[in-house]
Amino acid sequence: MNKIPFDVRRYLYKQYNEKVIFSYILIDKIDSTLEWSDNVQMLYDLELTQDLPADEQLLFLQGIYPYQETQPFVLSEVVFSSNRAADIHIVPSKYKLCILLFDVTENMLFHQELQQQKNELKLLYEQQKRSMLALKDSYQEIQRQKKFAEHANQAKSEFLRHVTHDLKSPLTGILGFAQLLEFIKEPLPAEANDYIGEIKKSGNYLLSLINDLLDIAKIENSGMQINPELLTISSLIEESISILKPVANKNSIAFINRSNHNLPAIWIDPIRFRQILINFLSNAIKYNRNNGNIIINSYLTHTHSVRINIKDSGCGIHPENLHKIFQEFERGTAQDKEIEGSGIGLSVCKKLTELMSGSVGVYSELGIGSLFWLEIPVAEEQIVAIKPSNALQNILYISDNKVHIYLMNCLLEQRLGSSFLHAQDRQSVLDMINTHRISAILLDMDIFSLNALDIFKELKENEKAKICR
Amino acid sequence: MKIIQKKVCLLGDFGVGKTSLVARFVTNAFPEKYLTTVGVKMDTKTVAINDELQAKLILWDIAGESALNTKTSSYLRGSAGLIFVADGTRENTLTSALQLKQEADNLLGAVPFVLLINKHDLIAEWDISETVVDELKQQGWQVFYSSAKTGENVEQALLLLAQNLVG
Repeated sequence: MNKIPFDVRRYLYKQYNEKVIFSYILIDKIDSTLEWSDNVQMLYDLELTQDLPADEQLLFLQGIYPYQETQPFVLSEVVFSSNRAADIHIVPSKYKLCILLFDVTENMLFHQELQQQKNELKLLYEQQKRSMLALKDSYQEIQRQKKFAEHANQAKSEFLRHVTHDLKSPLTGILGFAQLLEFIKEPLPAEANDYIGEIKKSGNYLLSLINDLLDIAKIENSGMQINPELLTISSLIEESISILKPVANKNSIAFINRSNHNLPAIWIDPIRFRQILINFLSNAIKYNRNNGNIIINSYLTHTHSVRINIKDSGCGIHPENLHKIFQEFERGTAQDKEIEGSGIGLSVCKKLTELMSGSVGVYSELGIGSLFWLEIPVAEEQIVAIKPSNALQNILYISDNKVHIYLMNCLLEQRLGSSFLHAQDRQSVLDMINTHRISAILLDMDIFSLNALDIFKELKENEKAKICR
Repeated sequence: MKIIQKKVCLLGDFGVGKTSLVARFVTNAFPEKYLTTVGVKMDTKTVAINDELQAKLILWDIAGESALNTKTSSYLRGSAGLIFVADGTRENTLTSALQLKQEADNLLGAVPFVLLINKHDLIAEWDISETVVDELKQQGWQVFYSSAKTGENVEQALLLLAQNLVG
């Protein structure tokens, strides 16, 4: 220790306490000879010799030696090949360059352990951050795809709506006039009656298909409006049966109605509800066997819903197809090409029922038949009385479609015996209301020359129009 | 045979593989376990530049940081060349390397350097865009995709740096 100049010893005293293992190497500034403490070799694996230049033996002197500064220079935590670490102070004095090594191995090991944990945590944080970003990217991509799919679906529905609307308009004319042909008093040749029958059959099938497609488009665009009324269903069931009875009779299929006539009222849109019943019943006829039967049963469930079961004695549905029978364009066992159908009727029924807060389902057994059911929750409030309807006298038809006007005129005057009144713009509508006692107004929603909804709103407010509501 | 000694410092963020690159270069081995470097470790490797000249590289493997501090700055003193290392699977380590390059330039001035984008064996987790690398190359940077694990481009990068140091 005495070999170290006093001023350097003072520096040393200030820097570290006595417990630190201390080593030194001294380089003579004049002849470059080296002196070193005995522990240098043991601690740091340094084999020093007078034969080689200092910077070649001491790697940490690379780029530093020959040291020209007057102030000490410190290299902290230099780890040697012996795995011992030292703080190296290069301290210049008058004749010597003093290299002081303070062993900090214990500190270094502690620091390393701490840093290792810190770095591992940082790595973990970076990974989490990357995962979060990747998740965010995926989420945004999913949202983008979803939006794209929604737009595409909306465009499809819009297209469907336009096409079906354009198809429906001329079809109304075809079916209407076919019906009128049947009413001609003079007898027509037998072939002509057959042809009319075929026109009506094909036309009706096309119309039901178009209506289903329109419904799907409306439901998908959230444009389907239902008008719920508080009703009991027994009359609707009977009505639906009577509509389909001629078709059932043709195939010798019997309806067995076991409905409970004292069921509580439910909130339903009667037009849509009848549409569902007719769809279920039509299917029960279509997929039945000759001389088969259809059992209709309605009752109150323990969950306080009104349930209708429609059970046929047909061929049944294969279990593989059962779960997708309410999906669009799925026809179950009807792969049989002889049976007409597009595979969208049941899908429409399901969606309509859901719009009325209800549910639908099916049980089926191959060779035995199928049972379609629908359930609607019972309304909390119940019906007190039902209003009788008025007889229709003057019927005002608002439309600018010449074919439709002609058709309605024929139907209303010739078939119902009502007085047919017609208007096609706002002023003539008001004139008609002011000058006639109108029993009912029929408004063509597809009227081109004016906005049908505006007319509808105006009629709702008009005192004279209220009488025919 | 003439031997020239040159001090070369390795700089880069933590965990980019500086110590592993030195191990691959000096002992042709790859340490499987990650052990954080604290302070600085020195090693040497002699490479032949040509038949008459060898470069003895004193490699200063400096503890990983995203920026220089007083302690790490002191290690750079007298450095003849620099090796910047980034981890190809962590984009932020390239930003750190660029930052360190800026700081080293301020301390040392312009010295020969190479940039190693390491862990190229983990190509499935690659996080650094080729566009950024191309831009650096256009600015005259010597960039290598390296792997201390497979040895890819490790020797080539060091040899190129050694040639630039003595050339």
